[in-house]
Amino acid sequence: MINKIDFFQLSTIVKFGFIMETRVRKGQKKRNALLPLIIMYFFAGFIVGFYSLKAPDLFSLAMFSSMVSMLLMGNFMLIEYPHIVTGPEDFSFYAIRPVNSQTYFASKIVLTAVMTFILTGVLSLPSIAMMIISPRFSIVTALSFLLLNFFSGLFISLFIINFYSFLLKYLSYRVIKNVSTVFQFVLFIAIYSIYFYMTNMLRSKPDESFLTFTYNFTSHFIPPAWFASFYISPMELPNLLTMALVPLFIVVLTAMAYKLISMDYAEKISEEMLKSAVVKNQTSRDFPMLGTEPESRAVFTLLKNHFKFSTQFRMSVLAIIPITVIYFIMVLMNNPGSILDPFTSQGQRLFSDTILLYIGVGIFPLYIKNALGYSYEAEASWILYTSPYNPINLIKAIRRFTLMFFIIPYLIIFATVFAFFTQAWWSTVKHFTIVTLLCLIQTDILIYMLAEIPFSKTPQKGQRTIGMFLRILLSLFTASVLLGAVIFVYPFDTGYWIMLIFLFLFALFINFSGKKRAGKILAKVEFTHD
Amino acid sequence: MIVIQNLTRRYGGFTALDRINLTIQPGQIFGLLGPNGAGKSTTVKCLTGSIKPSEGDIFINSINIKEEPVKAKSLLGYVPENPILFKNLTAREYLILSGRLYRMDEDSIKRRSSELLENFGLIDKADQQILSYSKGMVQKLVLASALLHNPAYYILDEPFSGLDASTQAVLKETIRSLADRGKTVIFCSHILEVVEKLCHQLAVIHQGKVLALGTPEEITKKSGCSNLEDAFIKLNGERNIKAEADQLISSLE
Repeated sequence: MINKIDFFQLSTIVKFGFIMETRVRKGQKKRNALLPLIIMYFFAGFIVGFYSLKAPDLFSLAMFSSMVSMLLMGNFMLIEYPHIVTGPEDFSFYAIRPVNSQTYFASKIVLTAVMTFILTGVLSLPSIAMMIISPRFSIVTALSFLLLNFFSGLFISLFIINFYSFLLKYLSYRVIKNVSTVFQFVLFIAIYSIYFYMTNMLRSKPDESFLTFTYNFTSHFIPPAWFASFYISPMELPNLLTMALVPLFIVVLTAMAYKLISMDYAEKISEEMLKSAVVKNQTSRDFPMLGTEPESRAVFTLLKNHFKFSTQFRMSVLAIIPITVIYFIMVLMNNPGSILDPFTSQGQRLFSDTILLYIGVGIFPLYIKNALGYSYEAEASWILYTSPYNPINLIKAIRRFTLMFFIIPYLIIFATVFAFFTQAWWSTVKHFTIVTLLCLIQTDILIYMLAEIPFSKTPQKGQRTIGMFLRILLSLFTASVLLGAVIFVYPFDTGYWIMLIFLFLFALFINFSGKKRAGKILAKVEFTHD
Repeated sequence: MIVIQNLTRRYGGFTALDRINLTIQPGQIFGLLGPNGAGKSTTVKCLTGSIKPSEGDIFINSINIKEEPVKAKSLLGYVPENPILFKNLTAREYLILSGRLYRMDEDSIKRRSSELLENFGLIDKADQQILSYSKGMVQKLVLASALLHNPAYYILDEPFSGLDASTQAVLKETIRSLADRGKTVIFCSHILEVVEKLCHQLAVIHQGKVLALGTPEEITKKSGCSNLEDAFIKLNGERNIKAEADQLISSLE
């Protein structure tokens, strides 16, 4: 294979591929699209850094570091980089030029490795710095984490490339889009689970056994343990065998990717995408509840079709479900019997244990908001700039859509579960009136105050990953407001009613001023389509 | 010389091209004509190596594109009907990328890309991202990219699309000059007036088959019409143009 690679072409494709991956698509500005992602990975690196201060041994630290690297790179590959194997745009450019399959394949792998190196490098910096400062680790050990994280990230990147490519070889593009969504769910769950455990870690509970990893026979089946086994001392035959799995699997995964990715493969993807564009004639069903004005029907058609055909949009919206489910399960498993009436003293004391259940209150509006603004078909939004519609009606329809299809069903299910566990119906009504108002305020701030033409912006590199972390921050903020209310306001009946009235008036104010602001924003963007 | 032998391309059960045979001589401007969906673009995609023929062979300068695609592609310059570009790149970067893939040396890439950008009036915006370009500017850039490595064979699919009148005139003259220098140009267009004036040889394709082959005069004469446009309409099946237009207008009322 190597002798068929044109290294001059390879370096050219990688160089320009890197430029394209990192450059922001904004007219004449040449900002680096990777920069926000780099900053985020740098801060994520402190998680491993802080853990290095209290890690029981080097194996556990290496295991944790490898795990974080794999999860973050896996997340990056799934969210930002799936087009490395599914994108047809490369084919139309390279297929007509004298580039062979081997060079094309090698460029994909090298570009993946370059991106992995940059991101895992940034991720490693805080932990390396903290390990160097710590007297427990030598400089060489600290620096070796750069390689540990890089190869862990590369492993998961190659695994995902193979996973997608393998599926695409045997299944239709349409099926893959759905399968990949399921796969993305699983990874999202994994990421949020890690986050959950990290929040547990910060609470300094006495039970910290999850932080200690012990090398045993099962390590042969856990990829992060393969990488961490390099840090076991003294080295014995079993862990030497585990270590051997690292080069073995990287070679196997690269060889598999070589078999799967080629120009022929790119052609197949290109053709598959054309085939998948053919859809059966379907009758459209209107939702009168969304409103009868033309803008509402247009929004419904637009969102319904985006949901059907855009993996990005579907993924953004559907990801809410597993995240919510996982939080419910985790809270119920870790704190059985903790969902109590928040208006009683015991309920107030244990409320913080269930605070993660309210994650949806904060993240739902932001999820929808993020998903609605961006599309890879943003160029098609010219129709929204040229059609004679009332932009405020359009935004109102989006708000109605968000409330009816996501927020209200979520709150109803949540309130039912809550009522079932607490058996305190009146408290449930009172508590969920506050939760609903908080949710409404956030929705109106995001949809009205930051109004935008739907699907009119092209997604930027790293944006979705950053969006995910922003959602976590926002949900934590909402959760803290609720926590504060339960601890400081709920014990006093008058305090509760004052808070309710305040939130109600604030929600009205935000709704009223939000509409005015949306009008102003939309008037400004009306002639800005490029 | 380009030789197309029994070229067949199927998409599932649908035959887009059915045993096409054509020979295009050096220095010839060869027009591929046909109504929408006739198989012109499929022919062009097979010629450029974008898709593989289901059956048959294509020889470019005696090189079989199926067997030696890289070698064959290095002889071609292609302007696609709907160019998909890496819009994050600037025009200059795009030409550098293209030039390097054809293994041109750096000095030639720099010199020729600057000359082409200058000639197409893009030099002032050469360092802007392509996404800020108009349709006409994109078309000029794609033309520049096809000319950059000075290939022996040009495949131009609707090359006049989006171009202003003066650039169209320059391009027509360029195509003639290329042919005069012994280059082969395969040319697809729906502007029959231009095709009639420019092409030495024509093939009219309909439903994946060659319906007529010859010079514009020969095809016009054989069909018993006075001009190529009438001949083209006749070859592709008589249509009542007036009735169809009336029906279109009445559907608006």
